[in-house]
Amino acid sequence: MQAWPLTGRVEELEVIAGALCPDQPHGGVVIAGSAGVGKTRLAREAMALAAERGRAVRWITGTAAAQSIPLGACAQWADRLDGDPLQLVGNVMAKVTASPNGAPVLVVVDDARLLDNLSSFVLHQIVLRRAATVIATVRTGAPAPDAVTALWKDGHLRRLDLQPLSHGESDALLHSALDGPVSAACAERMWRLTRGNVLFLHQLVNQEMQARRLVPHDGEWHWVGTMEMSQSLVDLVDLRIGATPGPVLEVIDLVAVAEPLELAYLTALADAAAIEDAERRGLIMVSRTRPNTVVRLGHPLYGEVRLAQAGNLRLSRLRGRIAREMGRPSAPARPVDPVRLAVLWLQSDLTPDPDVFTRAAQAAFRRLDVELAERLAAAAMAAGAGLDAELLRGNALMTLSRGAEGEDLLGVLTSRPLPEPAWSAAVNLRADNLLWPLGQPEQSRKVIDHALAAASGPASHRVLAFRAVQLAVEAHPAEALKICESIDSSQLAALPALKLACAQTISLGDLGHPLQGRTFAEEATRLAAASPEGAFFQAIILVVYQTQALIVGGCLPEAVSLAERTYQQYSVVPGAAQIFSNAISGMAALAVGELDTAVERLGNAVMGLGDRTDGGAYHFGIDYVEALARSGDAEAATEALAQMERNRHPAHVYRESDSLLAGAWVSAARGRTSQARDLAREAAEFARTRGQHAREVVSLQGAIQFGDQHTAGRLAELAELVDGPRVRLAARWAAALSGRDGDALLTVSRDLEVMGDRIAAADAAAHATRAFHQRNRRGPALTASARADRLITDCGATTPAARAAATPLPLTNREREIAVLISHGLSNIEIAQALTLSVRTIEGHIYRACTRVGIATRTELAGLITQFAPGNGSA
Amino acid sequence: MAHDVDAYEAALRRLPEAHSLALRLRSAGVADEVVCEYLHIETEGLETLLRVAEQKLHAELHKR
Repeated sequence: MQAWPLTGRVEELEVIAGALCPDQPHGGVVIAGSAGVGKTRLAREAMALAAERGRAVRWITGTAAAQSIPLGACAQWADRLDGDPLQLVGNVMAKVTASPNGAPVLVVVDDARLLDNLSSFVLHQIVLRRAATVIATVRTGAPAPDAVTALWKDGHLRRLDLQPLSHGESDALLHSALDGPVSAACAERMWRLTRGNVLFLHQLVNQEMQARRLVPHDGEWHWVGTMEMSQSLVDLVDLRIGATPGPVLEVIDLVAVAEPLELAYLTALADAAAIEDAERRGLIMVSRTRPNTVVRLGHPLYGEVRLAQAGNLRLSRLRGRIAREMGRPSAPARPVDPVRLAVLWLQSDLTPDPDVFTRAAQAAFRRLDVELAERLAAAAMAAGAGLDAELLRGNALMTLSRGAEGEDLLGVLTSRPLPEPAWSAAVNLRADNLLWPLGQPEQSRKVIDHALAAASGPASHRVLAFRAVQLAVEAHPAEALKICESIDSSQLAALPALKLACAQTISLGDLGHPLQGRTFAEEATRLAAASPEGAFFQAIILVVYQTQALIVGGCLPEAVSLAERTYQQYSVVPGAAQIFSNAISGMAALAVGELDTAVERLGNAVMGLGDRTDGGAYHFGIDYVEALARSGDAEAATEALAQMERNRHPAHVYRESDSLLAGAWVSAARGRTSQARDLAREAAEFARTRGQHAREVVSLQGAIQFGDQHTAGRLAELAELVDGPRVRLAARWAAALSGRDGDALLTVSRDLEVMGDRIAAADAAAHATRAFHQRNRRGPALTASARADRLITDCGATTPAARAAATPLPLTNREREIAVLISHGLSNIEIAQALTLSVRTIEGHIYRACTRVGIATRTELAGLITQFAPGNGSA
Repeated sequence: MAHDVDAYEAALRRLPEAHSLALRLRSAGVADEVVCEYLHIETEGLETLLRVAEQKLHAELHKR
């Protein structure tokens, strides 16, 4: 099938040409349209235009055959297919966007909706970093990966909706393609059938020419006779391809099941004349790229039609032929992707091969496609694979939060006599699966108890690593750390080393030493990057703990920097890594008072983890509740708090004080400051009893922010135990607050801002304002008030202290709290219930408050407190 | 004047159906979302579609 001239696309090509000019607001164009409308053709024209303008051009195709293979669409750009997924992706990106002499690059991605997730990530990164101009085609109405959809939804690529040709353009194309005029009747019939769809028109003309029903007569083309033809493009494509000779059909089908297929395999498997014939007919296209020349189908529809029509037995046989060729030690095209080989093998008529499936499962896990890794490991086990496949499947099931299936597998596995290190790995996985996806800490503990009783030598060190995790998350940091210190880490592979690093990070953080243990954590992360056991996910979880320890200790610039680095690396990686990077970034944003970012990213994370049972939604739900409450959205915070409680997970004991404190912030947002103070004290008490010194500091700081003036003594003690800037500032703050020392409070506010906790800095300034007022120092009070107002406004926060400072009314804290609740519409009975006081006491407070400010009714009191609220300009 | 109107209408009719419809709906003041619904396109594509439509119309009007 010869190429037809491009017709009716001048304006569309101009849009694309514009994207190739320097300094464009968009990183390229996405061409959207229905099947056969001419998207691929337009993209080819764009590629030719770019090449003319001196650009290096790359062509990537999304195909049904490669869609299930992580990085399948970009495989030809990968030198090696193993190792850390980010490094792998980075190498592919570098190769796709590299050019001789630094010439700008155009990357064309045809049928981007069929890209696998990891290739979508590559594309997304190329666009985001402006590493090349991108032209992508997508079929309208068909779902595409999120990373692809985001390209136009987030405004990175201009979207060009390609429309069918007009009647006139269709006629002109016919005239031009047939190299002569067409009768009016013929043109009209063709138009009615094809309605400007170029591929349809092309297929129809070819078919009718071959059937000799399209004939020249008197200088015009005529369509004669009756035609047996279906009304659909797909049927027409099917008819056309089905009518090709057997050997050519075999070529098309071979390409369809493994597209893009290296020419070397096709040549080894098919008749050379048939390959040439298929190319001549436009049914396949050959791209000469390095290291392998690859073959693709002439149009995506050809593949769809053949995969639907060819019959499973035939397709299985063809996949088997390719897989056998690919699996030979002297395979003609290198490197062979183990995942691609296994996916072909799995759907072929070949005898299942446990080694092929196990290697592929490991590779898929490393490329973050855990679902595929699980399927391949299951296939490997069914084919008789050994321990490697079983352990990998157990790990995959746990990572997918499929706890019950994981326990079925790991329970049986650990009951068998196993060699080391497989035995300790199986034991740890089982305990891990019981602890997180199944939420059974007691059972998890029993598994480790039992194993420790049986273990000796290096095995006991490996099992102890998980005991340390259990103790750390159960909020026993001192015991956990003691165990960490007894373990010989040189005996540990990547996964147990990461577990040990997690336990150590949590314990050291809770005990108040956030900067210790970092060298070991970094070493474990490096081990994970090269690990064959898919320790990548655990490495991201370690970053969660590291960030949290830094935040708790008040090392906020370090926390922000770590979170930012993680977000940049993982925020568009498909799957769990993306969710965790959002959560980590949200936690850091909350700590420094960037509440909009915190609410957005933590909200995304909680939503993304909602259907998992491993406690992630509870863990990050705590921070999400606090972010909403601090931003003053009491209604949303109350709702999120209820959701957090529904998601409560029994393994997250070490975050109990945070959970209580989040509830305290919700109470504060609802105007119930004394309840908030009580909850913060309860949080501090919990942390104190567990020896979580650093978390006790955070809880006491919360209590200070809610007006507690009795924390100075304990904070002074904690300052002797805990490292990091937070404890020292909190201790100074507590002392200054109890001494009503405005100058000291103002200094604390400045130092808190330097530390990065801007909301706390605002609250300390608000406390300074009140202290200055109480001593009739109006000038400094104004300065402190302006400072509090600036910080609180910058953060978009609402806090009780800032509210009080903005209300220069001669009220006590209790009277102010009651006035705020009246302004929220609560009755005296409701206020009494909220504050656990009697109605008579509430009435007494209201009476005294009204007397102090010279008004007569509770309604006037509510009006007054609203008038002086922050943000209305009265402060 | 009538001649101009006829020429404009004739040019509109020669455009691909979606482009012609987009221009007619736009000049009738129909909201963007509704235009996109009629054309079965996503809102992010409307601006470019209208730009292409206007260029095609301009080309039709100036065809000799």
